[in-house]
Amino acid sequence: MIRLNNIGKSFEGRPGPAVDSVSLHVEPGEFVLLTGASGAGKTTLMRILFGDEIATEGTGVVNGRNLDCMESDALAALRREMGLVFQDSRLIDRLSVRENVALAAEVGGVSCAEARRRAEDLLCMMGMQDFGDMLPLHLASGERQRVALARALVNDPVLLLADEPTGSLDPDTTAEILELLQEVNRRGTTVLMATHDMDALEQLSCRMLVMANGRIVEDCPDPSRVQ
Amino acid sequence: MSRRRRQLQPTSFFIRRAVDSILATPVISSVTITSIAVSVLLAGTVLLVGSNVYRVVAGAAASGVDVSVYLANGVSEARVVELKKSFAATEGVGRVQYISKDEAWQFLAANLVGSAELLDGLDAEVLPASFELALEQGISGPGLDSLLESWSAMPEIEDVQYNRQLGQRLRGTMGLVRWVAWALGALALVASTIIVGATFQLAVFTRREEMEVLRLVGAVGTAYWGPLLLAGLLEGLLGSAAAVAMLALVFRLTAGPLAAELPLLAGVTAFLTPLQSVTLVAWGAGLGVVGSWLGMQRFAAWSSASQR
Repeated sequence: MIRLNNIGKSFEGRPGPAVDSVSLHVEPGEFVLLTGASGAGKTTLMRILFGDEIATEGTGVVNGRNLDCMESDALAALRREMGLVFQDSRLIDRLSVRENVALAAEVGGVSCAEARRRAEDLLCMMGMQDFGDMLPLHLASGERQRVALARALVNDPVLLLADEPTGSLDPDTTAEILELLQEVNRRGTTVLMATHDMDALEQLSCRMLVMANGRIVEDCPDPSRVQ
Repeated sequence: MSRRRRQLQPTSFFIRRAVDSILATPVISSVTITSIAVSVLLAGTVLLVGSNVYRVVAGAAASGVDVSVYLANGVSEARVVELKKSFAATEGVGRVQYISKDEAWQFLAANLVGSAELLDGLDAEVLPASFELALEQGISGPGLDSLLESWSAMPEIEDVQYNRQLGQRLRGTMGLVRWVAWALGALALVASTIIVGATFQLAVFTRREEMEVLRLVGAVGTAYWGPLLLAGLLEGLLGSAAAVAMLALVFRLTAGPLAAELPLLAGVTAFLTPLQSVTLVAWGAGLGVVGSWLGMQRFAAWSSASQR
């Protein structure tokens, strides 16, 4: 699903690379945690994976697409094949919850009716079926993240990238979001989640990558798979 | 790979997104529509005034190129009738009016009010009978010269007078009117494109977070820009249609009273032709699309400078 070979990323004016010679192989269906202190390079690596940054070194393939030579059409197609969840949820505040979710499906070429049906199904899965007509402004942080997760899943992605999805949530809500992510993974979607949230790290039993100074310094396998 | 799919949005997606885009930023959309309306109103006013001035000047030029054909003494009435038919049948000749010696005398006397004593001792026979010919607009140059020469050569005709200077001056004025209209139109086009581009840029920047979300969920090409271009088209259509309607209303309210004050305008002024009106509306729609495109280009430049 993800194959990175000595990927590096440097920014002008920043001493040292943000991502330094990262090699990584993620199989389809895996749930991988990416952790490390702030500034370790987690977010930059995630941005490289969804094509928001271009690596200055190395090569990378995500879902069969080469990251280093991607035209805007191919990049958009890659983003429709993956789901993205961020710490700040990034919902469109003037659209209803249902419209926020359905919009991503419509962008993917799905009819309005089908997009709404998918949105309803996913909101139901997220326990948000009664919030469809509400505006995101009126939702709590955890609810907003559920909607963001529903939007990320509406195109049935093969890969879900979640960058600090529980960063602004209380422990109970964090547990709920993590349970949802695990449910998504059990349904076959590969999940790569960047976090430095200790609650999240303690609750999940999966492969864990530790980053420091732009490098992956530790790759702990999924305990269940080791067994 | 089997889960890859083609991106193809239905038309309703673009229409809904475009309308939504207009309603999302009502103040900026109103400013955009107003800018387009003002621009089209300006261009429409230039076109309306220009075409009417042109029509008035052209009418004056047409009536000003009258040819006076003075007859020799002793031309019989039958021959006068024949000549009148001959002039009327000549290509390029519009109106033909015969003025007898008596009529010429009465006309002269009427124009010498207060100085009638100047005519004392003179006989009406002293003035020649004549034909006043109004030429059609298209006739000029060598064709006109040969026509005048052929009339001069006729034995019954003593003299042919053609007010060439006035015609040329009026034709020159018509050219100037045309150039001024073009210059003002071009100025309006450039100014309005800049203004509309700036308002669209503002609209796109106001919604940059939304644009960012669309980008992240994989919107590209038509799905990304299409609704905004369509919004520009709709705003352009709204603004220009409102401008043409307003122009028609103002014309209806002012044309009558103006013609009453200036008899020169009576029966001459007219509103824009349907083609001109449609062209103005299309121009406003095009302005909306171009302005929207310019705004998006600036946003894209800003966006790519800050991130991929």
